[in-house]
Amino acid sequence: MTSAGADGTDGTVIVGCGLAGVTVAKRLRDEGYRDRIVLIGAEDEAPYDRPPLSKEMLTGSGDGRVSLLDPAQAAQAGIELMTARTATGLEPAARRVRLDGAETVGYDHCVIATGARARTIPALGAPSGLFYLRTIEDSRALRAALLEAGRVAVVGAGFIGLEVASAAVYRGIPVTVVEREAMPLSRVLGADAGYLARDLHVSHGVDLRCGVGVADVLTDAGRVRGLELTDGIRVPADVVVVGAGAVPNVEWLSTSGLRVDDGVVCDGYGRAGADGVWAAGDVSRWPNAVTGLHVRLEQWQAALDQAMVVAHNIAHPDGPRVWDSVPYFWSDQFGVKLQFCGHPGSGSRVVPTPRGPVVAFGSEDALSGVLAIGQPRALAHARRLVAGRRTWSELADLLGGTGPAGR
Amino acid sequence: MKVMADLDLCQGYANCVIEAPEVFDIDEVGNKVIVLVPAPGSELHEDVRRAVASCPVKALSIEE
Repeated sequence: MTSAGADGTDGTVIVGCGLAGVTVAKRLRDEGYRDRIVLIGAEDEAPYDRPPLSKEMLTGSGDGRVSLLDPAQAAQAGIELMTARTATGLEPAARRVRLDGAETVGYDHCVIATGARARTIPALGAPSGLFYLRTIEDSRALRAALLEAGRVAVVGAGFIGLEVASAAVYRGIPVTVVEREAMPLSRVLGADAGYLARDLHVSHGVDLRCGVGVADVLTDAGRVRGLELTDGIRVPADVVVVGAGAVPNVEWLSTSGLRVDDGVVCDGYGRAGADGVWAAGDVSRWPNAVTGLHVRLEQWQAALDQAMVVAHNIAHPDGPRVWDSVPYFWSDQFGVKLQFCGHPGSGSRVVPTPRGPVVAFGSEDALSGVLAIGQPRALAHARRLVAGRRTWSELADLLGGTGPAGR
Repeated sequence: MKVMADLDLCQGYANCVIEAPEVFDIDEVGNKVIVLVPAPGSELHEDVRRAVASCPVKALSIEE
């Protein structure tokens, strides 16, 4: 059967209850939206935030869970929260979402926020002791394993891999990181950032092995015992964590007719190509008005910003907004914040500052991005220069004196 | 609008400074937020709401 709201309108159905989905729901109410709101999540968990899963969840003494919306808050805001339900299809012509079982939910507006999942590497198999990290279940399982671990190996020196390495060091566990590229983070941020990340990790005792791949996972009776690398080196480990990126959860849209090409393709307003259908967060690909790029970003801030734009545009169809904030993300490693805003552009240069190095991206006369390590205030102010596409020398001036000169 | 910061929760991310630099700053020594304008004018309310939403550890709150 198809359910409808008590007032007869179908309202907004949000599929996915990570940061993007929950933010759309909450902001719709903040924006004065009065129709029905249904929030559907596949996991059997109240909505939670993901950044702590690779940080405080692994290092802290408590659970580290950060709630995005508990059932009482949902009830108070008039948000119908449906967890442990999977959307299996979208029918734009009939304006309804199909759920597992025979149920369908009708909508005036549908927001696709199904996020992404960890990319798995089938060749590595699935022995006991090998972990991917995406969900709170993954994080709890990895945390339990770290409590007993003698040696950790991490495959992939992206942000997740480096945060896991940092957590292992924090717990006093020897850790090896294996990266196929020549430098950590270099696939995303290039060589200058890679050198800084390498120095940070090596100085904290991480055994960082770049330019080498995994030839085999060594096991004993179905349990991980280590890795054999392509250079013949054997790395012992009883916990292996694979950080190989993420893939968008778009399979349920295969018969929807929507354009899916590395995520659900959206316009600058978040519209996904069918009447009343929107998308936000990791599953979506939006053009950004500052960078001019139309790429899928797996970033907390992008999910938040896109969700706020979508909520605004649903609630205020006469005054729609576009996504015009500078993309931004952060990582925590060894108690230091690595923060990046903008986009990497075509080049980079290290800018020395009294508080340590900062990396400027883009070109001499058009700053496209900034990476700061342990300088949150500087990054916050540098973001204005990125928004205005200022020059590298202006960035150096901003950071060079006693600190950011302000506005 | 009244802006409140929980300094026990704050971890100095400075996301609030990004969203509303007129209202927030970071004390880099203590690594904690500084609320520059505890009762911001209406022209800043939208920026402040964005700042509150952008705090990864939910250290900020507002009373409207």
